[in-house]
Amino acid sequence: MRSVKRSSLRRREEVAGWLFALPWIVGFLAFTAGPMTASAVFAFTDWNIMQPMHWTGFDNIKRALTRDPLVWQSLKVTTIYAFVSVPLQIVLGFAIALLLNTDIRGLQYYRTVYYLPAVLSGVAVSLLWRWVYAPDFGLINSLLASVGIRGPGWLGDSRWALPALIGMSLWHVGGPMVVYLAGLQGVPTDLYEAAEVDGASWGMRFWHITIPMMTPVLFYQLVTGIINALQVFTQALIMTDGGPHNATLFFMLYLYRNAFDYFKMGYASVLAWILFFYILLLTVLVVRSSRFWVFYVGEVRGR
Amino acid sequence: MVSKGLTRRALLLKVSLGAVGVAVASCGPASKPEPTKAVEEQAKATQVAPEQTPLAPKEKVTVKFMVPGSQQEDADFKPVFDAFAEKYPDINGVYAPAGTGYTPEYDEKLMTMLAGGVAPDVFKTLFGKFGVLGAMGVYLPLDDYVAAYPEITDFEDFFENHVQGCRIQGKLMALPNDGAPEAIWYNVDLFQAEGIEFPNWDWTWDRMTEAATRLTKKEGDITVQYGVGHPFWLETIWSNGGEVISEDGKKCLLDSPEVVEALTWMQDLVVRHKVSPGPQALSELSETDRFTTGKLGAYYGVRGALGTLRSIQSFDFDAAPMLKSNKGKRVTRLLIGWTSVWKGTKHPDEAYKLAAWICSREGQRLRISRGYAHPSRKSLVQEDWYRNYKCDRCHSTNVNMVFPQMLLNGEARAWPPYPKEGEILRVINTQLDHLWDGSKSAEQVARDMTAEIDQLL
Repeated sequence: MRSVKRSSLRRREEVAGWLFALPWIVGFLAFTAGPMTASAVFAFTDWNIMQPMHWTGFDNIKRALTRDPLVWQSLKVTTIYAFVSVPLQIVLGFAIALLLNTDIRGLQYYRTVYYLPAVLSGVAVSLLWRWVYAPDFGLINSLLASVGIRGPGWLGDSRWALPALIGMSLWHVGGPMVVYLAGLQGVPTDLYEAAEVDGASWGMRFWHITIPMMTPVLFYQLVTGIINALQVFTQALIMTDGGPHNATLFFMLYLYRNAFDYFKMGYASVLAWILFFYILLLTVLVVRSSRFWVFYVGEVRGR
Repeated sequence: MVSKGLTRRALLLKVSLGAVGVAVASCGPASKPEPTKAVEEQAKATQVAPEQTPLAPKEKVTVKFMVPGSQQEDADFKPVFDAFAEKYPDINGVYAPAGTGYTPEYDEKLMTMLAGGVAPDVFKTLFGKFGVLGAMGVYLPLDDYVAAYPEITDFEDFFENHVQGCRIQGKLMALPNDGAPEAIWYNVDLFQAEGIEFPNWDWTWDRMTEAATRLTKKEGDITVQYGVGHPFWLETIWSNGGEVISEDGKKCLLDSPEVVEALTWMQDLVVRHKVSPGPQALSELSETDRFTTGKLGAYYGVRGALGTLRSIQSFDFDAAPMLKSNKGKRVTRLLIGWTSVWKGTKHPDEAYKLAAWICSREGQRLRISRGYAHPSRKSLVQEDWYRNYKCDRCHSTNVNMVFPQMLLNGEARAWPPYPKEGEILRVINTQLDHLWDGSKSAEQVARDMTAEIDQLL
């Protein structure tokens, strides 16, 4: 009898799960699955949009993996960007959320100010940052000059262009900050009260309560941050066009060039799948690692 | 117990089948381009004898014309289409700007429309794509139409340089609706302040380097005024006797001594003499912005630059011929407004009539007399409205004269169309980054360009 009830409950939960996922499934089938499947076919052809495609077997894949140095250059640039910018965004976003989770005057104002950049258009932000990074009269170099430092050429200098774009990525921490803030406000206050009664310092409460309770949020931000960082495109197109000499040639930009500058849709499809599997690999690694550092309320380890 | 509900396995199966169905549907037109074939036949029939199109009363057909579009361009084309409606009451000529401006989005939009079989009947192609689209078989060859409609085409009136630039493997794939060679734009006030004579037909690279050195001004570490902008690589190489690709299109020739010498002069302007803005300075302010704000003595540009320059109020400016190399040869790059008919158009005759009208003497006069572009017809550059064009701070009518004179002297050349010109231009521009920042010698840049382009060819 108990078994039948459990089975019925499980079925209801399963149906509810599918219903919740249904909008995504419909969207995926209607707009994404077709092009994805098509690109898997194009990857084995020389299709250039206008002329009939010819089957080329594994040529595109071989070329991408063994004969095209720009594939590896763009993967390197994108990986460096992701591995540096994502941790910086997490730390800065979390730090701002902690500051804005206190009881200070004008809190709503500060929260709005920090979130505002997240809603601005990527193109407008890119143009704005071109001025921030202008070598002679830009904001950053003017500040550096006021303390006697001659700033670099930033976007026009192959050594500084990528760090400049990484720095610019911190402009968007307002988005994650809101999620951290929501997470922080969900941490039960009785945990802090109990710790205080036990004489725990601020540092101990932060390390033993705040961080563990926030790990699901940090995990989510890490996964989405990596996925977003590996798909950076607008900044590179508008601010540097991949230069100087490919120092900011992001993978998506290289893919775009092959598709829409050179009209090599077959080759661009291979690049798209390489990126897909690279993102998948990193995501799986993060997910697999989560068992060691992500904690959920009510979860009992070792069972 | 057998569940009558949807099992996970069944759902996944249905989802997969659905995805495959969508994919097959989306692949269909691309892998089996039947409409194109039908249109090809229609186009072929029309090419054989376009004049045999029945003259019996027919429905008014609509043909569309696409350009990148801007507020200025839209206004310039309006009188052209108004007059077309009067001249051809049986054709509905529609001006359909892409709304992208002269950006890569225009190429994207055009390609998407071509791929979807909904391209405009007549359209403009931008620099770097003419050879690519030609290789894809997008254009309707126009030679037969030129022969069939001699009155409305007036083919002999086009500059020969323009016509050559519209041919791909000998076939005429476009008509030129405008197009200018590049020249030197200079700030008259800055030259006068330094007591430097104005650039003229005898100026060489060395003469410009000398003038640019005097025009360059620094405040502390910062260069607040540069002498001259970057020369464009192609005309610099041509002027020095170099070539980019062999005539048979199979070998890159950029590692020749003539090319290395040309690249060395370009690099010296930025790296050695520091009289041209380097990549870092250009990341702050473009050459056009520097010139219009009076912070650049001279720069290279086509007559179309007048669209921006004519609003200058704070100083006088003028145009001078392209520099000669130190060997005494002058070749300037000719930029062309390629106006082509789509091979898939359902109304090739009407589309040709629209293209021919846009490129006609009257069509160009209506548009260009409003603004600043350069006509592609010999007769037009002799007309008063062109010769006497004057803006507020134009120093002389040289802004009208030097461009056609270089054409008449046979000193202008269009970039030949190559099937992989997008990739070739990308290789060159990436290597030029090294040239401008001094991270490679001119010789090394030439060698590396050649090696990379040879792989593409």
